[in-house]
Amino acid sequence: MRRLLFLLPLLAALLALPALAHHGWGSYDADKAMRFDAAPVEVRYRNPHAEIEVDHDGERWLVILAPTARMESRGLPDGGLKVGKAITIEGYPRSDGTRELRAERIVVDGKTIELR
Amino acid sequence: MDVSGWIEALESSELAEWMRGPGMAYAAVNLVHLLGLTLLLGSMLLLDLRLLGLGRRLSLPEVSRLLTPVALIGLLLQAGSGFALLAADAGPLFSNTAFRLKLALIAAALVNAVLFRWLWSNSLTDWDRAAPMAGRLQAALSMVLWLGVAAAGRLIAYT
Repeated sequence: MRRLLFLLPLLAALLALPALAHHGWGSYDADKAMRFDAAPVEVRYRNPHAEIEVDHDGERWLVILAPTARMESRGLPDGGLKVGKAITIEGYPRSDGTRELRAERIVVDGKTIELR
Repeated sequence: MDVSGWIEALESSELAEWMRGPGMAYAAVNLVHLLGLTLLLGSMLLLDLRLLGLGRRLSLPEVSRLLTPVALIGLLLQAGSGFALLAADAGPLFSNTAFRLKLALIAAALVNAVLFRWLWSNSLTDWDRAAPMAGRLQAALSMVLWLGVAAAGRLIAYT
C-alpha cells in the first residue's frame, strides 16, 4: 500500500490536465452569446461536423454546426442549408477572438433547429 | 519535407472523403477508437499497477504475458482508427494544441515502453523481491503518459 502512495503526486499532476482547458487553450465564450441573421456563403455538410461560412459585420465567420447524423435527426438533411438563403444563427464565439462560432441553434424557414 | 502538401493529400484522400461523408463512417470509427482505448489504456494501467506492487499474488511474468498482447491489439486499433479520424480533418487537427500534445505524449509513452522492455524484460521474475527503482519509475511514468494521451485526445474537442 505504501508503494502506491507515490502514485498520488503523479495522478494529481494528471488531474490538473483538464484545468488547462480553462487557462487559455481556446474554446468558446459562453458569456458572449451572439445571434444574427446571415446567408451562408459556403455550406459544408460533412463529418465530424457540418460547417457554414457567413459574412457578419463585414467579416467572414466560420460557423460550426453538428455531425450529419444529428443534423438529419434534428430536421436539417443535406440540402436544407443553401448558399444565399438567409438563416438565423445563435451561438458562442471563440474566446481567442478567431472569427469562429459554435452554433447552439439555427432558425431555418421559421423552424428552430437545436444543435447541442 | 513538405508537411502542408502531405496534410492536403491526406485530407483529400478517399479515406478522408469516406470519413467525412454522410452515414455512420465517422461515428463507427469513433467507436473503434473507444474500444482500442479501453484495451490499450486498461491493460497498460493494470500492468503498471502490478509493476508498482498491486496484486502481488498474481505472477508478474504471467500478468505481462496476458496483458501485453491485449495492449498491442489496442495500439493497432488506435493507430488505424486514429489515422482515419485524422484524415477527415487533418489541417485543423495539426494546428490543434491538444492534438499536438497527444502526439508528443504517444511518442514518449512508446519510447518509455520499448525502453522498459529492453531494460527489464529479464527482471520480471525477481521483480517483487528486487525491483529496479528506474523500472518502477518507468511504470509510474507509463501511467501518467497513457492517461495523458487519453485526456489530450478527449480535450481536442474543447480546444
